Amino acid sequence: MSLLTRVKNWGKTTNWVDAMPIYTLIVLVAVMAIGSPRFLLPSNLLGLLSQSATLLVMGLGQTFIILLGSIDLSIAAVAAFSTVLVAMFIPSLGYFAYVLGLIYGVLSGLLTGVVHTKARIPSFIASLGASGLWIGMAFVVSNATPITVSSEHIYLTKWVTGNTFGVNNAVYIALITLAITFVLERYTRFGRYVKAIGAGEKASMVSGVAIDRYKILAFMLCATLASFSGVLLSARMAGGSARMADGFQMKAIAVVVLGGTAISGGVGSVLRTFIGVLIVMALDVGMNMIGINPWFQQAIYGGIIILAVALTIDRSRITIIK
Amino acid sequence: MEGLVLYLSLGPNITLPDMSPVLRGGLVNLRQERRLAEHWIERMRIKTPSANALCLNLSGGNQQKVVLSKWLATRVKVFVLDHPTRGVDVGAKEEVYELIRELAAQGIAFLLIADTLEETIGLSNLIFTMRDGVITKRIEAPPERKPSPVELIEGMM
Repeated sequence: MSLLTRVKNWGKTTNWVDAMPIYTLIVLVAVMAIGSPRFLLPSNLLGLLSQSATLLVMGLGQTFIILLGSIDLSIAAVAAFSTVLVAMFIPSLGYFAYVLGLIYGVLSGLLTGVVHTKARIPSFIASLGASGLWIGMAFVVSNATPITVSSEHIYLTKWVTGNTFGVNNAVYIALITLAITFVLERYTRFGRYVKAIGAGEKASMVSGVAIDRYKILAFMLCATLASFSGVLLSARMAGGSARMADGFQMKAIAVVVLGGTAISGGVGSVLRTFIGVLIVMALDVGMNMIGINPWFQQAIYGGIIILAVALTIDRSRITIIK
Repeated sequence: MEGLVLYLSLGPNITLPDMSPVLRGGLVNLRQERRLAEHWIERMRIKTPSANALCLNLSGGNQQKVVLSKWLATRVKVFVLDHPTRGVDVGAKEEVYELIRELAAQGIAFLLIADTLEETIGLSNLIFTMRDGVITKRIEAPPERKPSPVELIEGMM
């Protein structure tokens, strides 16, 4: 279907729950624009987007896991440990410190995926355990003190913090990651199988899909993107710390479900997660604008996750809630 | 229903066992996949609002046709049908039978596991009756000389 016919058929082919995230976004943006006309300035929007790059990258990885019908509770911990690794090794390894962070991500995803599939441990437990492991490691390795990238090495962070054509590089990085994950999700065997497994694991199995292999691959992709978000974070903050990704775990789930990807698996898209990130971005700005205490904002996101899940999954079809 | 991923449309279900016909340079060609789905809709006379409809919205008989399509698309030569019309309503049953006959005429072999006598006699050329997991009787059933239900029951008692 061409984009044009899709736009024309928007109201007809999608039910209101499907289309709700985009409407929510439009309403939020409208409210912001009225509350503070500066909000719509391109420079302001791009600034927000560059701040949201880390969240988007995490959310994109989480999307694949939620499409599987699983959940990864270790991404904030993986991101945190990744910031510590990068900040620690930048003086000795230079750019290779970033590669090291990514390699760590690949391996941590492999570990969670293997524990989940081979030991047959539910994904939320396997990843919760992994989360404890990595956040603990981050504290131990960093001696529970933030590590700063010294000024002589700060040039190594410019690929994230610098600008190209007047736009922050983090914006390009986030959008390129979005494009890659979009192709992965829609046009590769991997993406098709992940959705098929999430929508019907038994049917996929009898069709010959190597379930465990694709689940492990999904966890590897998710953790790699989590460590990549850690890489971006450490470059932006010019340092690393076990606490650097605090609060991201819930937000990375919030952006997925706010976009309308069903927590029960099979239905959703990374594009929806992008919408979810934009919604969270607008909410953040809005809550700060009306002066809501940052700690209380966490509480609001908790409520929002539950609300979004309640609205997006068709619970009448699910007989057992576990 | 374990034969289909109900929350996917026809195309992705048909290509699930073998994605190679729609892969171009490692990427799925969605237009090709859609054409493939339309090919099977026509060949198997699947009643669906569109190739994009979720299999969830198809009737039991039409879902069975999608299951047959997806395995035919992999060029299998032998089907094991385990109660293929279970849960399919009466009118649609006849259509599934029609398809099985048509495919058999094209040289595809079927091993039918059934528990109704009419279905067994009507579809099979060779029938084995079983009791307690053991084959008890071998009955030839060519179109011109169909056994009576009693002959089958004898083997089952």
